[in-house]
Amino acid sequence: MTKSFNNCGNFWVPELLSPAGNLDKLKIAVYYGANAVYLGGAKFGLRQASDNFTLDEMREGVEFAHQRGVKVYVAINSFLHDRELEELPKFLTELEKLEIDAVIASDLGVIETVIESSHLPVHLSTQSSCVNSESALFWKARGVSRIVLGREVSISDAKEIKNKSELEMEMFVHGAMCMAYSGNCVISNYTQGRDSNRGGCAHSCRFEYSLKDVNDEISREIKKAYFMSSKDLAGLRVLEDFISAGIHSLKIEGRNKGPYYAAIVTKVYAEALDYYKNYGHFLSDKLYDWESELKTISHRDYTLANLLNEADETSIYNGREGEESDFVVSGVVLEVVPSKHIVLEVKSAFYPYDILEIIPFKGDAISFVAEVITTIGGSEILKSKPGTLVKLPFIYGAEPFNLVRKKLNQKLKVEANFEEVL
Amino acid sequence: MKFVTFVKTFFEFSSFDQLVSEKKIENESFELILGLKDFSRFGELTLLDLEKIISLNQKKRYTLVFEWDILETENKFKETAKLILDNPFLKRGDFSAIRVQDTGAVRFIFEHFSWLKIQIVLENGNHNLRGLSSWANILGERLDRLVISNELTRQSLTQYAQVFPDKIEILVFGRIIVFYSPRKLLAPIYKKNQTNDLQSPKSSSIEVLGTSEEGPHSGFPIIENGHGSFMFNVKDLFLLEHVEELYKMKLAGARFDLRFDNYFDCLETCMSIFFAENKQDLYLEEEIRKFRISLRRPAIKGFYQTNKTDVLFSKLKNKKTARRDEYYLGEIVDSEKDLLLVLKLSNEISKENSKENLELNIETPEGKTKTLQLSWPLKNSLGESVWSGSKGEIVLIPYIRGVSVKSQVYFKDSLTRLDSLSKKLVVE
Repeated sequence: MTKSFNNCGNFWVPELLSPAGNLDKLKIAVYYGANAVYLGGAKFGLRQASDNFTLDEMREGVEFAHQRGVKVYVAINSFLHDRELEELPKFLTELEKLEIDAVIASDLGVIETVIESSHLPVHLSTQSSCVNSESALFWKARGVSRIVLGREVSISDAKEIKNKSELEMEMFVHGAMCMAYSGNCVISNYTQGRDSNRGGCAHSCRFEYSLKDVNDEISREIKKAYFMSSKDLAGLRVLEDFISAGIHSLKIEGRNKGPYYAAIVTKVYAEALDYYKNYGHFLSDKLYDWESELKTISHRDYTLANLLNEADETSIYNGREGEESDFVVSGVVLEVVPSKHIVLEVKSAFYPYDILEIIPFKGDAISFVAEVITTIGGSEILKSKPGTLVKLPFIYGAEPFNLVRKKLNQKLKVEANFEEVL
Repeated sequence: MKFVTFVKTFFEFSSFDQLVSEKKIENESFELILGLKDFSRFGELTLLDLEKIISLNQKKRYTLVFEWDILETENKFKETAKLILDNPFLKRGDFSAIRVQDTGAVRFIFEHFSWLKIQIVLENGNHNLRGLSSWANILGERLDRLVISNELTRQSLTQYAQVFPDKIEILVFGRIIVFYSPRKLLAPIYKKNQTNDLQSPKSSSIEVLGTSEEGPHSGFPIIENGHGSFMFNVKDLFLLEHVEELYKMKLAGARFDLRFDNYFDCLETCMSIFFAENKQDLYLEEEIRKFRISLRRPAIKGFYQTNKTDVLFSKLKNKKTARRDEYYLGEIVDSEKDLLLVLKLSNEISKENSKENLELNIETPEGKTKTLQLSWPLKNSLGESVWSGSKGEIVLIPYIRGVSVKSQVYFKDSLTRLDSLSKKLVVE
């Protein structure tokens, strides 16, 4: 790939693959720049707590995505038991009718079933922990067309795996990380009675533990050890490495996360990749802005994990789970009536004269003051209520599915922390 | 059914052999898994000890299995694979089979060691016959063993063992591994918290007991060694009461993992129970009971009787708010008491192509169904009258007591829906 500082505009970039936890999040991901989305049906996926899709929602989602040139992959990456596997062919027939672009599977029984009873391409799920080229070749012989590599794999290793296997490679670029080899953690199964590999993960790795060395009589118990919790992956700084390695698809984790996460992460990576597509490099003044945006979403500390080198102790998130963010999501724009008003689906309370920001699908946030807040029925209110709709005066540039946020001022942050302590 | 276990040192091998001789059990009834540090998660055998074992085994003729059960990324895998290629014992055919989990290792052995049988570790998932059959087909004549999951029930085991007689192995007694990460998770903590020479006696391995501060579970054994970090369940698996049943299933192997907690000392008891001639004997029953009570760590039967780890899923979500596809119109997204409801349309409606009154069913999150006869025109967010609405738009409809946000709205019958064809929004 040739580098150029001229704006010649057609450098190769990987597919940006965003999570779609439900139909709204799918639309948000598409609007904010995803090239592909992945989602789950009511069964067979690994995110049972997510809303997931009914077949009609999936149909609507696929139509919506395809009309905009965006691919749809459906996760059927649970470790299915016999009785569940029996139901799979019927579901696959429906998926074929919907013309989805691929399924993501991990269990050999599932993969064989897909290949036998459909023409759907199979992407090997990260659940299979495919982490070397011999493994990739094994799965190639089984008929998979793409490998979603284990999160233990570095970009340089991924390149080698790609070259040896001649398969498409997909890697996680952003989001929460399993500490264990995927598919090799069953803590929830034994402690919570929930099958982590059928969508019931209780996130036991995020818990606080106390530890005692069994070989040392005099050692004291170590308290407050979050030793199994991984920091979140953020691969923005190494996008060029992914591109140089020819990684086909960059995946954003987070089907269970909210619309704001889906919007911001997709937007940041889409803008960064667009920039590269145009200029062939990432030496952009926007880099700081992109990183700042990624900090606005609720996240653990960021890490490159294994992307460049083997993840070391700095990749461990040794802290309690919390909602650390400078912004709070105020809502999602549901309707825009030009020159009149916008209708906002409220996610968190705000007040008249609060300074809010609309996150457009492209470009910088648009700040505005919510001078008047009214209900849909037209009554003026002094506080918006989460879960309701409100009307705000028309804002130029606003579009349906735009996210609206409010910067947390220091006073509010202190209050939030204080509440957390209590 | 073979008694499958591990030996970590030549001393253990000798002790094991002595016990077998004393008990006059045929050597072919056993299978010994040998793990070297470079290839095995918990292997501690030195090359010297391995050589001595293999040498002595020329006479003893125990079935020996080489363990390569680690997962490794590309470069490390290549290094390990090279060591495997150079391993004189594997080359010489001193092992009956090799035990692997990584699909890369499966392929590598398949390609480079054409004489070596494969024991494939399928303990993560592989909970269906279709998958197991595929594994069996892929390995063909090379398949020696399907080492399957502890999460399978007796019922599934029975079924699978009928399909694959003398090919299936399960863990019968020992620690249940619940977590495997390549990252070093304990060293950072112990490096920070320990002073002077308080580090774990085994320089390359740290073992601790973890207690959840956010749950009732205490005593998770956690090991960090050169291959990463491993966590085990707080209770060990104990299926000794079911040995006779397992015999009848025609399993190939029952594994006794005595590598931890000094459980190698229990070898004799395990053998006595496993090889007892009359397994219905009340004395044996009592012996098993006493053995279980005497163990250092609590024991469970795991999922042997039943596996209900998916039943909670249905409680994670309110099914009543899930959209049923047929006749779907949309969702209530806001409600102003005694004034209005806001309906977000997921399908298009227009007066022109529907009945005079729209007949709707509204299903509330509480599971109640309300009916509504909706007269044209509807209202938009400006309060203006409209005679149609498109997908994604919101319309205001009259307030109905008991209908709340997330209620799902359906056409009452198919005719209503079929008549409602797409039309542009018409503002009065």
